[in-house]
Amino acid sequence: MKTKQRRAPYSLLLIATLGFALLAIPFIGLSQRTPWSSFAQIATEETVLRSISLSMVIATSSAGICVFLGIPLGWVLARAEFRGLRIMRAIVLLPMVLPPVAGGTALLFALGRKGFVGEKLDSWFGVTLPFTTAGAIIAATFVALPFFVLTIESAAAELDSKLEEASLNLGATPIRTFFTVTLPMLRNSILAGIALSWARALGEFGATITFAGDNPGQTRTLPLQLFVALETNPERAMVIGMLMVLISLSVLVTLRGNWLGRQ
Amino acid sequence: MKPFVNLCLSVTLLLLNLSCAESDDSLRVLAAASLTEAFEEIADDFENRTGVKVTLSIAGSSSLAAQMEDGAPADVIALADQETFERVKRSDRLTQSVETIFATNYLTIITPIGNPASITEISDFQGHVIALCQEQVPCGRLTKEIAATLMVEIQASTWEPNVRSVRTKVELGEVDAGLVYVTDVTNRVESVPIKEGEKIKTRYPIAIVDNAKASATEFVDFVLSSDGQEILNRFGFGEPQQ
Repeated sequence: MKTKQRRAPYSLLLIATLGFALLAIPFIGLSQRTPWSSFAQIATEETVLRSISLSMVIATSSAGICVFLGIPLGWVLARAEFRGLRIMRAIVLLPMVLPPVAGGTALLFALGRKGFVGEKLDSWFGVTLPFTTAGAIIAATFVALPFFVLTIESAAAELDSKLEEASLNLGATPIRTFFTVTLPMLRNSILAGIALSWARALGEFGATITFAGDNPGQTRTLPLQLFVALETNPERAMVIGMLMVLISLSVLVTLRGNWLGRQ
Repeated sequence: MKPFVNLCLSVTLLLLNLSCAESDDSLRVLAAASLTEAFEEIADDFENRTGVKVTLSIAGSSSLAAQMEDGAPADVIALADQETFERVKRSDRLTQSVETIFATNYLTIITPIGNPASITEISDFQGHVIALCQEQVPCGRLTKEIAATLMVEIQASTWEPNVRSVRTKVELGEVDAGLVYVTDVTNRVESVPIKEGEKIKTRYPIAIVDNAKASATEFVDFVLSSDGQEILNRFGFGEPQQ
């Protein structure tokens, strides 16, 4: 094994191997139990296909919202200075550490039909979010956004601000500087953040079932289908599980790996 | 380096220690979600009488069946219907192949307080936001049976993984109505009886798991005793003979 520090201490390598094994072995177990001979047949069942396309729609919309909201938010966390920044950063990271079910409950109390925001949405615009695809997108975004923001924040904090200062000194407005100088420099991190938040949104379960319920064709994404299958048809559950592993793995390997410029 | 190795050793030892701490001498009872309050009281009573501590593990019946298949530690299992119980039997982890029925239950409509959507029967569900149990859990199977008997097709806005999450969605006012067991009705919801609904019952089986602790038999006997039955009746469950 070659590492940048030519001779890595063996004890570290050993522990690193143990850590990797803890993360990798469960997937070996899953692939062993996966009924590969009927994989293609189960993966193309109508109910599974419907969940796949729904999951794609939800994960992609969610990643899109993450880009729109997450770039400014990450930038503010990295660059702005104001009282309460610390608490703001903690709140942004909260969905990463909270059980998603707690997040889903919180969403219900805020955006549900009787929630303090949801009530207004219902009475003013006739919009209700629970049990709809829009609700599932919000639930997925709630858990995926912190991953995106974190990627942008750390990249923006490391950015050399000389180029931005030069742009400002040459008379460009701050917003023009942001779009023509800052954003291009953040390009790789943005793409990596998209991959990470897309994959996280794809795997969302707890917040979705709590806030958006289980509504076939509307909110029954792959993870929800997996949950039902686990209790009714374990073979189908293994196929769906493996399917999610393969999709997420390929997204993370090809997209995230490339854009972060690491081998 | 040395302190680091020491740290790793102590972490490993700690993990080993924790994995052993699981096997205490309490009685592990897996119980269906609808039994929550009744079994909490039964467990308390049982503890007071025998000194044996009871650990309740509550989930939807089909989740419990899946846990049994996956080798979850258990001494006693109590489910909300016999169909799911067939699955537990196939796991080959029961001492007897015949289960004992200890209670019965049936469904009712519940609505948020004030019944804002004026639901009076199942055929009113059309066009409203409804929460129902997923088909694989007993309350879902019973829901299907009722729909077949009444010859109505019911559509739900959300299929919940167990009967308690149906009730929660109704309590919060997120849905206009739901179907739950009569034993799940609280003062935070309104109950609308289903005509002849009590005729479509589910029967609750209880059984002892292989290699269970000796107190498992005592626990089952207590559930079936007049004292145990009195507690179940108080929570609205029907008698097993019905």
